[in-house]
Amino acid sequence: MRIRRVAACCAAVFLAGLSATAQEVAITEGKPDATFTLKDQTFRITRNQDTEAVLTGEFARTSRECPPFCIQPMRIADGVDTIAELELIALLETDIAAGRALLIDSRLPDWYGQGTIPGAVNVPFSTLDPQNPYRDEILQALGAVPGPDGGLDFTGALELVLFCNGPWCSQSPQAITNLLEAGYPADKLLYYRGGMQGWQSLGLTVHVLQEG
Amino acid sequence: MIRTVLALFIFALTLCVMIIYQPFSSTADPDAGVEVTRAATAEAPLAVPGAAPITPAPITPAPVPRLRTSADSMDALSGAVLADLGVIAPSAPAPIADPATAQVVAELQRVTGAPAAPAQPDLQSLVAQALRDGQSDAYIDRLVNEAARAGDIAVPRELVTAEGRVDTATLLAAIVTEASAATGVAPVLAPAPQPAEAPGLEVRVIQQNEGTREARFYTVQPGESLGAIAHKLYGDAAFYPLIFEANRQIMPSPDRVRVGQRLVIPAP
Repeated sequence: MRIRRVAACCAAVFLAGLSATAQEVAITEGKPDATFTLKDQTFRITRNQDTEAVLTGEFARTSRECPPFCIQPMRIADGVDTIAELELIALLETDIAAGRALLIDSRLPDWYGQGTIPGAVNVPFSTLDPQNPYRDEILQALGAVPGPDGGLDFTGALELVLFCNGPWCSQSPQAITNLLEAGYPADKLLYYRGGMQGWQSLGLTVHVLQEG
Repeated sequence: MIRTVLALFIFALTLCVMIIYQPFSSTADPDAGVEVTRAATAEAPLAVPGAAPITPAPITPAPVPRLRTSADSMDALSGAVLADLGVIAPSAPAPIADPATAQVVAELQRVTGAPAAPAQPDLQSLVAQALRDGQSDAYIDRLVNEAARAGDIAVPRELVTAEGRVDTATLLAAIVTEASAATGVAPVLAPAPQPAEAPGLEVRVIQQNEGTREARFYTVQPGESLGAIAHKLYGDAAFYPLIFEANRQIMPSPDRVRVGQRLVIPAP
């Protein structure tokens, strides 16, 4: 009888330890994951549970040539706020899931396909260049409406969070500059400076669309 | 003698000073009641007896009003009109000419949902209804242009003429061509003029290292849109992006064509 009780106790302690091991790396204390649904697709963001994991490959590099891969400032433009991972995850769970905002991967499609932040949409920085004669089509897909004077009205445009490869990547800053030039309101733009580098250095879930 | 010369010289000098400074003329002079400044010339012409008042001539011509333009091409529009009339089966919207942009727009629309249905009548239903009612080309031209000027409808960019009107002739021609292609009946329209005889077209032979090359230029005629020019020179308005791409430096967008503009016409 007594032995059985001790055994039960041991088993309980063992199981508790096991479950503790399973949740060793949370996003924040008490928040092991983030789940949201975007257009019938459910995304779950967790962190890599291997406490020994290190970055390998492209994102382990520290010294890319500058130019063009130069360190980006904290503030891209007046009125455009810069955010970090927790603010981004909170936006994904609220405004982005509700369709009021969009997470935009400003990199070229091959980079986007190899791995992006869950829930991100690819709008390559090059398509927002003033040289693109069809740029207005993109702006309209983002919620801008043609005004009576031939310009665009951004009153109903979506809030956008832009990112690219990281603090050494100028593609999302370029996209933000071009959006501002096109008339996009600065208070509808956010910059995730950490980018894929910051995201992956924290072991956060990467969404892979294609093998490559 | 010297004294006389000196006196005359002083008199002449005094006279000159009097002429230049006019010390006895003042603003109290009834003939010069208006104080003339440079800024006031337009409103208060100089009171010169017998001279006609100067009327200020406009320095810049009135700006051409910009019409609301849409992403849809004229091809898509004429197809939509025919689909509306039941001549052809409705088709998917025409792709944007730039594949990268088209992909981005498709992805954004997938995530944000389909674009909201227009609350106002669009160009397609306006034209389809007029054709169904058997209205004349002139009526359709007036109807469409009134709606476009009021900003009620958006028009394809290649259909905006140099005067800022909607080129309904090119649109109606495209609808007839597409309808005849769909139904297999030959169009009863007059054939499009041959490029060689199009007024405004000039063909130049350019000497190059290896042989010669033919370069074509076209001067925009009154009332023409980029779609009309493409129709005239290539036989199909859908070729307009070719002309637009070749003339990007002088044309900010396909709806900004100007009369007298000399366009490079690339080989199709």
